[in-house]
Amino acid sequence: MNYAIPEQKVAFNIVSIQQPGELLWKDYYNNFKGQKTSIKADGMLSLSGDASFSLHANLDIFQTGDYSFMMKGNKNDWSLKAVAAKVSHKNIIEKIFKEYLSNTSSGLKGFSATGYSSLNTIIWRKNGTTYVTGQYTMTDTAIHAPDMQFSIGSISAILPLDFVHPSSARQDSTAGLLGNIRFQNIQRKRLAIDTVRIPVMIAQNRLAVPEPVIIPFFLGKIHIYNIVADDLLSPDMQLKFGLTIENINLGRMTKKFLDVELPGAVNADFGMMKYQQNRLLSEGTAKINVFDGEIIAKNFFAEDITKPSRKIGGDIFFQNINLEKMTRKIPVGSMSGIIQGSLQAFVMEYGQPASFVLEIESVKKSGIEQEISADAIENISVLGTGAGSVLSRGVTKYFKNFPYSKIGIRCVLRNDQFRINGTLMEDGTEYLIRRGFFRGVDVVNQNPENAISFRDMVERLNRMSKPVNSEEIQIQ
Amino acid sequence: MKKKLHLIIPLFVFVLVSCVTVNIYFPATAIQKAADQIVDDVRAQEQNGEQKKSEPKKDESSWLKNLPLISFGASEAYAAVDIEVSTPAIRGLKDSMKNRFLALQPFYGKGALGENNKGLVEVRNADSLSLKERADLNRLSQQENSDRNALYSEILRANKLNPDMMGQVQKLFANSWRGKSRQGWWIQQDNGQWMKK
Repeated sequence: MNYAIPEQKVAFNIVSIQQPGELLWKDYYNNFKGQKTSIKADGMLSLSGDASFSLHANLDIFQTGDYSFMMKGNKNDWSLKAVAAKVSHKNIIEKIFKEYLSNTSSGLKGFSATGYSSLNTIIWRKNGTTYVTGQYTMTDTAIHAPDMQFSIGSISAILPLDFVHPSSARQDSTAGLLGNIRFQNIQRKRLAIDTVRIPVMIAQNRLAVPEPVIIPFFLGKIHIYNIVADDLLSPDMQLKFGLTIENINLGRMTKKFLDVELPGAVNADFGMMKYQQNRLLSEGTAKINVFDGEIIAKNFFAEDITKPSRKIGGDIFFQNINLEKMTRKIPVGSMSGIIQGSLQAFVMEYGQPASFVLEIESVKKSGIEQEISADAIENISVLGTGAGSVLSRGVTKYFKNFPYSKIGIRCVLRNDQFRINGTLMEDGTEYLIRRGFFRGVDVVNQNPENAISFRDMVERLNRMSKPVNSEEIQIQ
Repeated sequence: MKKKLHLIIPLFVFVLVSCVTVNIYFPATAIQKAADQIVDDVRAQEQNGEQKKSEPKKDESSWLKNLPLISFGASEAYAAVDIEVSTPAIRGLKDSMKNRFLALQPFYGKGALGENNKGLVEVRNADSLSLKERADLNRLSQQENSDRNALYSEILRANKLNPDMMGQVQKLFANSWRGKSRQGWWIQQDNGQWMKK
């Protein structure tokens, strides 16, 4: 170290090697025993006037990469050039974050990454505003989170940096800098996506994707367009994008995810989606063609998507659904006829339905029979009363199917209370199913005020299609 | 006329007082009962183990008996109202806290963690803990308080209670957490003083 008295300047040269032990910072803990860090630095500091300084340093942080920086300026205006090269993701995870990640989220236990990152940036402060420019590059990267059943086979990225703080100092006229991100072999549980390439343009805290992103998905395509993330440095960061879905093969998709093949196609135009403060909102609709009919989803929203408390919801309307085709795939007992209805105010929290109003009614259509099987009546009975019907006794046991003239069912889940009612009222009697002209079965709700807890509802759903031996519904 | 006034004035005062005092707006008893139930559920492992031997089953929320359940004049009268404590959010939060309780238990035992008078956990004296244990304690207590705050908010939301009542809900839950704490655990009294139970 040298000190020059007339100029009041200190020049220094430091070489330091550290062997840290345990480190605790808030809830971050790591034992760095046996690992080394080192710093070689030289610089100058003026102790008079505007306290100008210069500093150049090379760092070795646990052999994770090559780091260097050069900084100069004074207490008001300064610039920093920082370079991080060949930063090994594997070493960063294993030496610094492995234990922290597994403690923070059980899904990140066993998380691993390969590949390298490089960063070349200049940060400078002038007249109270801080600017960041440069480029971040990621190569040969793969990530794997076995507990989340998530992996990406290959990630590469070239991202320009162009940020300003505070945001009010932004200049909208600045031309954007181009970059791109490329993902290959994305796997999440049973979902697999081959290749996604996202071109990006970054300008003054604003990220835009200039071309639509097209993701091939079950023989169809998902188009994401007009992606703009504004005010990236602010907690109020707003992400907007348009989303359309084109001809996704519902049969293949449901076979893959649900092990049940529901033949049909999914087409959707969600319009512009907005994501802000952990809430995703859609302005458009999704249309699913299935069982000769149409399902339309509207007012979709999702909150806290990354948390276990995630909340999703929306309204669904369906029409012209062919019951015969539907009940061939969904085991609720065979039925025939056409139904329409809605599932409104649907909200799911913590992976469980929190509220909904489901309304189903049959619609007469010429040439289509209206019949309901004993199994289906049994299941409706179980759901409504907790017990089975008396169809297995008397003369009715010889019939497997019964004609009906109308179905009208309303199910409501609200405040953890589930209620099933008929919407067909005649002479003060509430019917869920009205019999055919000559014969058939009336399903009557004898206790319209009856409500059961969500837990009981789940238990009854589990019992559906299983043998039950009790009589509660009234057969006329 | 004077005689009539003598009759009318007390009657008027009686009617006025009656109108003001019967004011159903905060179901304290029901929430206290719900809080007891939730705390029992969360600490179910403890109750199944050896712990319950030393503690009386009745009057576990020792602060409950001090609540002004029925009073006259300007204070409130509480109605026996059923409180909704079984929504998906409440079930999810309860499960999350239940899973965490086993990990928190040793910290209560070592005096590093206590139950404060706002229905939250508070780090007390972590001197005897290793750095690794302190990191775990910081993380677990942060997660626990986040869940507890979410639980209290959800109880208000599910029962359509005013968000301003958060403080009252916290206080009632504090009664349960403290009342159902083991002997030797740190608890904060209503006056802010900490004591070993």
